[in-house]
Amino acid sequence: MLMNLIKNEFLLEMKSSNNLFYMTFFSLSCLMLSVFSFPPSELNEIIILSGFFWIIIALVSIKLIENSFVREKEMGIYDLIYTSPTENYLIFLAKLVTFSLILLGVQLFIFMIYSLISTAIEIDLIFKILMLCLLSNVGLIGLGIIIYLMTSLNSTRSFLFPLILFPIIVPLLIQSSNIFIALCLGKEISFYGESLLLLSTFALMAVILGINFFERLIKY
Amino acid sequence: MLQITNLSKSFSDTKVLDDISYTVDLGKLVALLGKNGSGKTTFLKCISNIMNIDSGNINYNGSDFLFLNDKANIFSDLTILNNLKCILRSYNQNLNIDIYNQYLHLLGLKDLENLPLKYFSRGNLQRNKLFIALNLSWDYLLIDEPFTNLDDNAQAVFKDIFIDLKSKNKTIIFSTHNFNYISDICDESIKIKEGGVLRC
Repeated sequence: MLMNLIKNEFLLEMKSSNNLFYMTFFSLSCLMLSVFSFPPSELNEIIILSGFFWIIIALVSIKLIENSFVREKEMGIYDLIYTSPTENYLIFLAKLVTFSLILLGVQLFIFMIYSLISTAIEIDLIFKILMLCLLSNVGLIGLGIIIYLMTSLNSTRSFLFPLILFPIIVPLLIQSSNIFIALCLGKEISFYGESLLLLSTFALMAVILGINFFERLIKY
Repeated sequence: MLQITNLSKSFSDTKVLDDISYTVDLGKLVALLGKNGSGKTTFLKCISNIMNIDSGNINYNGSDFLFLNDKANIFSDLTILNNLKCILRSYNQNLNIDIYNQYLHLLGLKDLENLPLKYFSRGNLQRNKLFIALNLSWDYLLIDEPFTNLDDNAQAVFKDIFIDLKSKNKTIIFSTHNFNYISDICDESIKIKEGGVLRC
């Protein structure tokens, strides 16, 4: 059942007019713009990449979540889907898995392009970085879905959603950025155990909150 | 049997549904009547469990229901088939290709099969809405305004389909403003007025 729902989410994202291509293009162009604005230096590149990268990813994830619910609401299919006999937490998990993987795809693409123009990221680091990204994505998307649904009935949701979400995800973004810089500079990852623990806590908290509260939040 | 007991719903200080109790068996056609803003859509949303209620109980006694609201109920970038497949996956049901083809012809959607739904007219979206219902398995269909935006021919087809579904022991509860047209096939009509339900 979960696989069917994941398949649905992927299909909808691929067929959507506001699709992945635009988001990836947006991320890449923001990153390039920031990289070329600073004087060339390896340290600059890593710090800029890390800082801008996580901010852009946070923006892309907001857009991804918003698009998904707007798509369901604008033509009224929201009621039809959420009154189905399927357990609603499965829909939450399907969205979480799909969006985390889509975000991972965007991140992989950015790294591939970035590794062509910069020596800051070596190709053999990409696997480790992607594992970090996946952990961060789960927390980011999970909390994003919950906060979006909490604000979705408010007329100022476009403003309220990022306003509430950003302060909550700041620790997640900072710790992700720290580990990212450490990986790029070849530092020992064991020094960053607390950061990894915090990211895991965010991910776990998002999954548990989503499973327990998604059903209540989708009702209006 | 669908049993609604003491259902109440209010928005801020306005009580839309006030202590409504109502029971309906399988194999019935029930028209939901009332003025604009009387609470027909709210009633359907409450009994489909998508809207929080203030108090009361709704019990389908193990039967399945399907709720189609007054919008198109589509993913606009998809075709008829892909949209239906998405919905079927959400309901954990499989596509019956014979039923699919039968109703595609009957509802006059065959020529539009490969067109994304965003290009459909309102009338065709309404046909597609009933088409979705016909391809899913349910005992109770709760459908909001099924006869709006339809031409005379489509209205007649819808009416025949409703009669056919009733003969298969399905219950359809639908809101309408065209009651005169459909009154001859309805078993019951209920009017929502000042928060309460009046059986007509």
